Amino acid sequence: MKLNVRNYYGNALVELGREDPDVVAFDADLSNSTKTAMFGNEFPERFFNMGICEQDMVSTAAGMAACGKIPFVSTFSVFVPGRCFDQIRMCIAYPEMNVKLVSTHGGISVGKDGPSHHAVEDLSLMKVLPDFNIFVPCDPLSAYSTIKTIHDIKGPCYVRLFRDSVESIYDEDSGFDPLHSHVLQDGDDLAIIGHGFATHNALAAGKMLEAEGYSARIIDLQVLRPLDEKTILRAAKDCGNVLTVEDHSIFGGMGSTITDLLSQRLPTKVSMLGVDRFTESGRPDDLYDKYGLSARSIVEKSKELIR
Amino acid sequence: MISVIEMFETAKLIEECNAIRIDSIRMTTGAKSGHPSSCMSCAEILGVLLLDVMNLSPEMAKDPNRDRFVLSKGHAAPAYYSALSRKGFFPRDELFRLRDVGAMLQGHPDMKKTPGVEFSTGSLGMGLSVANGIAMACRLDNTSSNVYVLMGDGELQEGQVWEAAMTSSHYKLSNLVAIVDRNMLQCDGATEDIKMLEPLRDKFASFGWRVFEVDGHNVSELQNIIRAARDVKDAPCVIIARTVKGKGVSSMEGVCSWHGKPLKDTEIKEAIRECNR
Repeated sequence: MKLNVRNYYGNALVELGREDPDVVAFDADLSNSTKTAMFGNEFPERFFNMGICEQDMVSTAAGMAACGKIPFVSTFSVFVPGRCFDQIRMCIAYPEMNVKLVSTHGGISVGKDGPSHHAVEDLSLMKVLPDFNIFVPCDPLSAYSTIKTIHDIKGPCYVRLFRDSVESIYDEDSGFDPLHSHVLQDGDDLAIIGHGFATHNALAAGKMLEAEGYSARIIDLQVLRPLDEKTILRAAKDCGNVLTVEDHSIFGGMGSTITDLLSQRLPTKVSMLGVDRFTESGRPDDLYDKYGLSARSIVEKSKELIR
Repeated sequence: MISVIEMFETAKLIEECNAIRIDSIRMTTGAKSGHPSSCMSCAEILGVLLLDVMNLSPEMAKDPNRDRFVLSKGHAAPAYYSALSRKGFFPRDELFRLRDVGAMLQGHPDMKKTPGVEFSTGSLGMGLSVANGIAMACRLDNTSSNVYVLMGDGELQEGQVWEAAMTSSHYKLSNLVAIVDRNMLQCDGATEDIKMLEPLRDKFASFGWRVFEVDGHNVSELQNIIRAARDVKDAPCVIIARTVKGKGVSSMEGVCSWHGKPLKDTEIKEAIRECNR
């Protein structure tokens, strides 16, 4: 059954609101889409709909954090960080404010709204801010656990969620840990690393490759910072070949984070699947097909690499 | 009628404000960089706020009921540092290590490095939003704090300031007082030539603010107006403080080219003599 990860964000936030009176939430006129409205309905005095004012929203939340509040700040990934990067840098990252930015609608999986709304640069932007913790959950349980976990991390955090509903990858017995990456399928011909929405296609590709007799290790890179270096280095060592898949730009995104690590620690051939241009409107599946992120594209690329 | 004691106190405060101005000149000349003229226009505003009106001391640094101050025009940091040091937040020696590697005092205020600095600033146009957030948190926590923010006039060209101005009035943040250092100049020229701000009073009024105007170099007027604004309980207040950029040194007064330029070693003796006149 496909589930909407944003509802799990909303639920987790409401629970945090009940557990901790210092939790406050901000939105910029998209609270029904980001699901912060759920928090707003239960805690109207701690919910601030700032209107269409992302810059003001981010700096105001930082001011609150300076007084000991724990603000969760949400809008679409294209606007936070895109619309307010300087405010995030100056008011949150530099003074290390305890603000949680949770953006939704990341990547081209937003689909029909088109390139103006396809956030494919957000992770590159956030990555250049030192000490900003960055999480890219892939399913309901990982989204829920991530939100609960970042409440307990003292310092700035960015979480990127997506619009479309997805099947669950993790369940309560998976031993999911929001602070690490996870090997979803073992193998040693090739390591395929995905995160967020793209993890689903990586996993589907892994199954297809398996059926054809190839053994691919599928990794869900849940955390972009702090990077789970051990899991990546082991995969590179065991497989000797790495393919990254991201619903994001390949310029400075997850793939380049992996190449940064491996080129310095364990030089390994890395190939990247991701977006390298402004795309277009369309159904998410059609876009994934056309821009090389579908399970089929991943399988083709994998076979090319294994040969 | 003001008493002799009050007159004496005011005279002392006037002297302290001027000392902030002179410190700013010495500090920027010593650092061979910085924005002395931007400090000189707001020396009285900072002095009256930090040394007189605000309920603040180093002992209260963690007290939730302390008053808060955000220097939105972060480039006036030297004047802010001088006032904080006079208030006892750190030793005076630090002032003269401004902008040195390893020093406590950064080119622009850094809350992680400098005791007394309530929030880090430097990129213009953000301070009012931050102050709103602080005022909203103080309200949630039911503190008795008043929140003050000092903005430059040039930075009012940033769109974020007007986003924040809507927030202040929407949430009726009556525990907030904004002060504009209206020295009429910005980096490249006169504000009214670069992008006009007038009618500034009407702009703030139409955004739902209570507006006051004052001679930003008159200490006793500033004391009265800031207290009057603080005591307004139904709306955010803004004080447009008419000032002179480079105030105190005739060769700098109202001259735009001094924006990011310190005086030379050979020039400060005469400048300080003039400030003390």
